[in-house]
Amino acid sequence: MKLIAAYHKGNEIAMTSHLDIQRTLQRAFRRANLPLLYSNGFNPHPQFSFATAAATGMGSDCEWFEVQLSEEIDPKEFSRRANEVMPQGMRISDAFTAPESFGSLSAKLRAAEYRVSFQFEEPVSAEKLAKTLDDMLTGEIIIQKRTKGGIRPVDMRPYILRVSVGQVEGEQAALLVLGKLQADGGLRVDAFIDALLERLDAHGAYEIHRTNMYFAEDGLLPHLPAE
Amino acid sequence: MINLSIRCALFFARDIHGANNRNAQKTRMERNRILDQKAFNRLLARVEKPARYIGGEYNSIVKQEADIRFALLFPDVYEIGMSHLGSRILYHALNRVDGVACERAFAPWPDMEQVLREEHMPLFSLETRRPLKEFDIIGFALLYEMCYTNILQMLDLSGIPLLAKDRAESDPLIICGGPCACNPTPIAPFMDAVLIGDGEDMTPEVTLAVLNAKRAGRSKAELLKELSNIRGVYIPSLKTDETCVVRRIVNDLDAAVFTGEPIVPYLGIVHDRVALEVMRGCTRGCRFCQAGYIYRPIRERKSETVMELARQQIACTGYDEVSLLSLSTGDYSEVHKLVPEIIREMEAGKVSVSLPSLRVDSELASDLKVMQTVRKAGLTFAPEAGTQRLRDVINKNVTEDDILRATQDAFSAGWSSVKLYFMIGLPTETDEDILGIAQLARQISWQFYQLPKEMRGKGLRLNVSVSTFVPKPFTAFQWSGQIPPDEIRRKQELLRNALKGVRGAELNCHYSLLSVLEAAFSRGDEKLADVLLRAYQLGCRFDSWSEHFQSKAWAQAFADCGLSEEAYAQREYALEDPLPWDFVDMLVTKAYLRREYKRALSGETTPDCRGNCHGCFGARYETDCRM
Repeated sequence: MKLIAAYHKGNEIAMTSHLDIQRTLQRAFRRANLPLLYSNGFNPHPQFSFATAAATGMGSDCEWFEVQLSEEIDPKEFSRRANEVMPQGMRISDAFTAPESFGSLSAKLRAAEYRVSFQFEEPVSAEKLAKTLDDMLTGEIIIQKRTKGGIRPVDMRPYILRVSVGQVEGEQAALLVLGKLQADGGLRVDAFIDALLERLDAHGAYEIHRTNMYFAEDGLLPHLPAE
Repeated sequence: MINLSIRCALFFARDIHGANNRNAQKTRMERNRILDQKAFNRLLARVEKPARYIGGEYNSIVKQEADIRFALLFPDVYEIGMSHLGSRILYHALNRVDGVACERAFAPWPDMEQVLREEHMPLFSLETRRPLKEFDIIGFALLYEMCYTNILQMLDLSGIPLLAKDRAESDPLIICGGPCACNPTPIAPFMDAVLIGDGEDMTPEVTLAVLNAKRAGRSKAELLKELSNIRGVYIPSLKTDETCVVRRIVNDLDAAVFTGEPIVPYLGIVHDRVALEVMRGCTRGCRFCQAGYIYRPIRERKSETVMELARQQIACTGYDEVSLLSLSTGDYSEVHKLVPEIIREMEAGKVSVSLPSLRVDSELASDLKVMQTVRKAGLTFAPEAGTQRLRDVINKNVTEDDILRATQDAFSAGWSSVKLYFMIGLPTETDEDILGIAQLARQISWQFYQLPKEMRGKGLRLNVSVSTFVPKPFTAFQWSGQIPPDEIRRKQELLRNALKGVRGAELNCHYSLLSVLEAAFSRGDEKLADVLLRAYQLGCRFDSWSEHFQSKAWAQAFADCGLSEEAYAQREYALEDPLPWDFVDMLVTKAYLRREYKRALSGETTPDCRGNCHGCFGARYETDCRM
């Protein structure tokens, strides 16, 4: 059977890489004695895939992945057993059985929502933040993207679906960013935020936390409301 | 550049030691910043592989309350340190004691060192992110000489004075142990105590003695005196001409503490698997091999114990690989029982078994065929020398026939990737011995291509790996010098030319001044402590990493102290000369080593000592060896 599940990546493990997470999940499932289905060949490995990679430094509430199992198992039982042997900061939050011909998560992925928390060096007002964002969103947002053929400029604007300013207090501020995210490309939140900082002429640090992932409508996975 | 790093170090030291309130307050603020996860992540965002510093791995042990805190430090990066079985044993041996908290720290990579210095943050433990200075004991694992500068780096980054004589009563007790501790002289001035021999009983014993002294309010001087009575413990500050430190040993591996529930790192580490020590010690008696002498006598874990450990550790870690460790697993008396059994049982759970240090014989070849069904790993053989004459000198009791039989078995079993280990610069070596390496490689290559195509793998990968001999204390060659760098280079070229045209062979021999430095330090004396300090001040760190090794800075450090690294490396001692490590009794007697040295020079071999005692412990510790 194929199981679809999401894990939560807490702040304590935000600095791990996607590869680290993959290894960690795999070992946790082995500790939990879950019936993983292995590939054939000299180097058998469990069959896992992720909707998308979780970047090093980013925490998340909703990293969706799929895993092949050799036996039927109640998704609740799967989560319970896995969560008993998870390291701190990591937890399976959702799980369900994929129907036949479900397709792959990465092909269904459409968008993701991020919470960006700023720690500015000097206070930035909510008005200034909102004004700068409005200005930015009316035109192109060119970032330098590293590709196989070298560095080339890419406009991020078409990937941005919505940006809203959250609480702003002194040096701290929060943004909620909804961006397109598909197998063939998506919003580079960090690059967008770097561009924003430049326009603001502000210095500081920020964290990005993925709060939601949205998929093509299938009645099972979270999807964007039709606009 | 070099000047800058000294200034940095001094500036940092002043900042940490400042006793005024402002600094104390600042330190408290830093503490909060380290403990605040978001602020901590922001710092880590500035370094490569931040997961090295986050802790919180599955099975790591966090004790908020403890009577005594022991920081176990590995003076190299996380991925190397976490691969060290001994440290994992000590972590469990200490943490299982009530009231004792053992936490870890690894040498911060230069990018992290820079962040710590820029932010005026002390080096901290992974478990509670406590500054190391707040620990009662700091214990370093000494696995190789080329990590010594990192010891100084870690102390410096902790704001702890480097030299034992400069430290205050309130500073942690700085101790060390591990194979390099058998010649503690070059690092002695930095240490309050050196633990020599097996650490699993000794380290908790020392820790509890420190706890008792702490409770009774005894001074450091009183404590050190007391510690000096524990077998295996050397206290440099109490050294006299009469000092004799006897190595500590653990008798029964089945009863000995092991790794408990091992930590499962997030980061991929070098040896990322369950490691099971099946045996300690080796009976072969290779004359160059320090481990072969300093881990005597041979002690085995019963195969049932190993199987039980394998089950338990796979269950609590989720690892998919088990490795059977020892100096020579093929000599393990139950190898033919254990290997097939463990492979069969582990295979069911999709766990592969790897067998480093395995001497392949024909009976094992069938085990290897079983092994292949799960996962195919490379095979490594270590003939060490190219001719029978030289193999007799070093007492590597392997004949050319043995080697060829083993490779034949491996090739017929489907292996096509083989690694051969050799050393150059061994005592009595001539060019003929170097050419012998190429000759052996040629025969093995021929052997592979003689097999019918359908019976062998596709293409042969014959990796000929050649290192430079480094004479080590407590070996039969402890009196010999290393060959000069020009000779090393010439012999490497000779071999490179001789290997041309050998199908599938690939020579792997990097010339590096590192082996010269290693030779200087392994047989070093107290003057090298000054060199070490100077090298650290000149910016030397992570010397075993080629990208960080600064041969010029090291040369300057030696010159600044009026010494020469080559003179140290090439120094020949006479058999009756006093040696800097004479005050350490590693159980194997000097008289025995002399005898072995003489036999080596006359090309006489000494057979395996299993069931055939050669009296290496002399009369004094005869009973410590139950063979």
